[in-house]
Amino acid sequence: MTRLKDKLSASVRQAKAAQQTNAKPAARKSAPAKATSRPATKKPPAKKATARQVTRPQPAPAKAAPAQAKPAVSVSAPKVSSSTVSPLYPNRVWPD
Amino acid sequence: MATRVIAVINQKGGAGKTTLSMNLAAGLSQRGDTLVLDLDPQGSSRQWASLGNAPFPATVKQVGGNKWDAKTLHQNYKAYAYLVLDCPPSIDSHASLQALRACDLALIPVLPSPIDLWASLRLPQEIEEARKINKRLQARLVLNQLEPKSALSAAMHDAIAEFGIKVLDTGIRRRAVYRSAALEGVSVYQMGSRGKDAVAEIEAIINEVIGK
Repeated sequence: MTRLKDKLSASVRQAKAAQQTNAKPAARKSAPAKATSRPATKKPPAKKATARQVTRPQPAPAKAAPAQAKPAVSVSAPKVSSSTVSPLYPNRVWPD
Repeated sequence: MATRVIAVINQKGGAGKTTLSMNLAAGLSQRGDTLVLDLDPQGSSRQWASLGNAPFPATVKQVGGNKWDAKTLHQNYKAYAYLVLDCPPSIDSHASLQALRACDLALIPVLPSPIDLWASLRLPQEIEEARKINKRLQARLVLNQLEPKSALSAAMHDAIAEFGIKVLDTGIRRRAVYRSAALEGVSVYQMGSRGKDAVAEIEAIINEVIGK
């Protein structure tokens, strides 16, 4: 119950703060418009790229995906399965 | 006696403005001549009063357009002891701005829901703004459609304090009789024993806002 009260009160304070921020439009003309007043959720830290993720030249996608639609994390199985890719020379494929 | 003007206002639709206006007016009509001015283009108050066989206890009129202001309201309706202004769900409208300038008391019904709370947050600011012109303006929040067993309803009293506007001690419970009364074109005062508890709530609100 106390938790619910606190949560509700905090949500009102947050909405109030967002409203006050939105009420100051003059200094923010050049800033890109925000879709909503909700504060942006913190993105998880980017995973350390593995050699495969970084170096694999990916085939150009048929359609340009939206910027945040998919993180460039999943890469399908390597096409050059019989070769290894060096993290230092990503564009070079070394024969096994 | 000067006309006592009560504006029932909230920018959020469905907060219970018309229900509160009409039942408040019915209660006030037992104390003096009462007029409800329906300032909402939807005309729900007028529609309510037009239903049913028995005349509604208070006079109900719809006022539209913007060829009137706070001053003309006072001039035109000074014969009434109480004027209840049922405002449209828009704080930026001419009607709402003039209502805040004309009234002695702004009653703000708020539902026990976070979404309704967030949507009503601009009101304190608008009331402060109106006070620059209307020095006697007071404001009170009324919790509407309370559900006694709901934890959220119980938590509302504290959360609503964040508004910086006083909250009436009396809240309105969620009761079918309020809706039935609207359908029959009457107030809860005309609903017999079914309306007893609702009448007690409205009476308690009236006592809080205008005194016994």
